[in-house]
Amino acid sequence: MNISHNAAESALASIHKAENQMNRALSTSGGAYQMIIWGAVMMVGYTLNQFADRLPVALVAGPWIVMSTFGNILSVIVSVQRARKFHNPYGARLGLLYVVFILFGVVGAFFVHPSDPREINMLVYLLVMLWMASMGLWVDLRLLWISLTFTALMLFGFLVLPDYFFLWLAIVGGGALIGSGLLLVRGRA
Amino acid sequence: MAELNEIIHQPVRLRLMAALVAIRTGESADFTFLRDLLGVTDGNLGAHLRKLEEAGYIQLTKKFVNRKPRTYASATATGREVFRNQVAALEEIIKGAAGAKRKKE
Repeated sequence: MNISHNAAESALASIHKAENQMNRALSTSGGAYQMIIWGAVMMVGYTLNQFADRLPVALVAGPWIVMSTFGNILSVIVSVQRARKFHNPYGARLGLLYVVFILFGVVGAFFVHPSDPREINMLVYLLVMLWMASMGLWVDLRLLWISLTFTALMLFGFLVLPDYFFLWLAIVGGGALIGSGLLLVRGRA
Repeated sequence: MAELNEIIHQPVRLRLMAALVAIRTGESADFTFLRDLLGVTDGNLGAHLRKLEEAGYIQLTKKFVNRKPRTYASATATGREVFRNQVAALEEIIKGAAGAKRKKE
């Protein structure tokens, strides 16, 4: 089969156009938006935690409750919208896996009794990162590397900067989550 | 030199393959979403999907979502390979034409 130079150029242009359209659709309906949502929640929530001793309890707990609820609702909306366009054979299992990790975390906390708020937050963070790493092994290796990097950063903050750990979680943890989400969106777009 | 594949060279099928190859291996795209993305009719898209499925380049799966049947399409390993070769062949044609033009000059 032979075609002209112009026909080849036109075919390649139509390929790039279709790829860009699909990548744009993927970027606006993926987990990247969930990362941005939860990064923002972490930033605000943990900044309040850092100054908890100077603030009324309601001003620390209240925003957390509101933002977590809002974050969960947005996450569900993003997931449902994505499921309408794309089918992932592991989608439901990944959702269930998240619930299983949290359940195991609750049971684990019952035995270990972490009393320091820093320890409790580190435990929650580790569970979420373990879930992200598992997701990475299943669907997208980039998530595995993001998870390992975040975990190393958070361990550094926990061990080396104990007095500023919540601020570390807010800026580095939340910021890195937002940055990674934006990178994934831009990488697709 | 990579050969052009006549089955996927057809414009709609070429765009369809480009879109499906952009999705991760293992994931599939919804029929209605693909129809809107490519700006084609149901019948047109259905015919092209069948042609690609017969060639073994894509896989069609039917799923029930809210009790309604939905069709999802994904590129097979063969389809991804054929598509990569098609892109390589098109690039070679362009490079070849550019080289010939330089020689003339």
